[in-house]
Amino acid sequence: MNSSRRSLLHFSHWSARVLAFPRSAFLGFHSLNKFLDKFQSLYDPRLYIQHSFLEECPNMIQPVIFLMFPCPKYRLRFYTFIHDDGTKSLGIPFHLSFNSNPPPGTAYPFYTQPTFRLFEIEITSIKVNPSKAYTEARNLSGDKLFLKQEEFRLFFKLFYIYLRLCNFFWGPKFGNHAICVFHARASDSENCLPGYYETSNHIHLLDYLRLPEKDELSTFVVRGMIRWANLIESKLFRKAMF
Amino acid sequence: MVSVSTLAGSELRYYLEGSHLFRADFDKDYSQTFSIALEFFFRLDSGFLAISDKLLKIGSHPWHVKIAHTLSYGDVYVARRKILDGIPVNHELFLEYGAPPSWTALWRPCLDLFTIHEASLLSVVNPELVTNRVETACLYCAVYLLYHIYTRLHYFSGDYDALKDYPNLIKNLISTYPQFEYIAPDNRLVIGLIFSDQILSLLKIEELIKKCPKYFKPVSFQELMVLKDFDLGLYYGVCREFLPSFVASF
Repeated sequence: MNSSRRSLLHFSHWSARVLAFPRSAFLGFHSLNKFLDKFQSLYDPRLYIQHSFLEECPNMIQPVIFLMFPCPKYRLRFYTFIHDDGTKSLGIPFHLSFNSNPPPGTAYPFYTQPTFRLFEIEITSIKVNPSKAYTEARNLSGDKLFLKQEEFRLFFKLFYIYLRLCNFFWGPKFGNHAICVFHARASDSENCLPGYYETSNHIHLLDYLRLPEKDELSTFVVRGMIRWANLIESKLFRKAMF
Repeated sequence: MVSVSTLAGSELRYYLEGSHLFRADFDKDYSQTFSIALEFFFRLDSGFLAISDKLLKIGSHPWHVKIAHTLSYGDVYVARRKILDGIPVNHELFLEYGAPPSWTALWRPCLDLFTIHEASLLSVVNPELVTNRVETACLYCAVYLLYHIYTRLHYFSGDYDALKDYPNLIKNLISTYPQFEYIAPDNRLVIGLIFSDQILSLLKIEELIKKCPKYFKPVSFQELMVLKDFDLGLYYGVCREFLPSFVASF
């Protein structure tokens, strides 16, 4: 819990309006639906509130997409971002915006249907605009990223036996961000992330936990995402296989 | 050569090599190892149930919103033999032993009352710790821990009649409850289990709440949101139960 909170604090413009739900909407399976029934769709501007206000408001939960970039060659390795202060993070957090040209630190999501069913909200892709902390970040080779507005298709299933869906509440001041982890597809990532196909730009999740300069949000994601029981191997089994 | 009780009290450990975790020998030193722990939560309609330490005698906190236990060789041995071979973990065993054992040595009554050799303990435990058998071993241990929780709740509340009538807990029932895994900062590999209705009823917790309400208190979602900042297991447990799922669609 001592890792840097820097990336989250810098990840969205204070004036941007971002998606938020009252905390009471999370009390049960029907609470969220009951709340959302009052609105036309998830793009309804009334659901979007000024970020600076929300950060001081523990009773409003802000959904945040944490976008990770899996290594195309090796499972459990993810593209790593190094910030100015040396902190390393394994993904980019985005608040959700209703603006199709999202302001920095936010993403415009494309839903399967802009309404909702029970406790699930389905997203196909997001158009993102990373904040300054990420546009100025470097990769592990030291190359500057120059990230700009991009569109990413989302998935999770490829690594399912090693990783589990990880959604959790988090926040630098109050636990008022609902973090939802997604992975970007390689075909979308290769164009905007320098050295994306080089394994040396990706860190293994268990190695990440051993780093001294971890980003707090990435650390929570990694701790909750690894299905560690599937990483247990037998030496005898290995010898027999290889 | 170590004694059987030293071996039984040794935590199960794994070490990291490359991208995988391998079973660590209990008597070797490693630069970094991971132990395995189980964490239990009891779900109520609007939150979790906290149980007083006066009933559980675990000793770490005055109230337990989660019940945590780090697994040792002795735990896996007794749990496996309890489930598969039917060795008794019941009131007769505890009566013979005198009282429920310490929370850190739950295996002790069985090992004290049966003659078990180090080699036989290892031959039962080691095969359980590899590849895809670990999760099953953890579920056996979950059943065995629930028996111990049942014993402690009823023994320390003075409800001795309940101890004559042990619930019939089975692995398949336990596996139907929500589970989550995480890696704790102190290098524990944790499986969290969130129990509700049927387990609460089998453990006769509802009856105990009526008999001695001062030892139980519901912790609301709002309170959990504050408490979770101090405990990573509670943190993921609360999120597992109360957060809607955002899913990728194709």
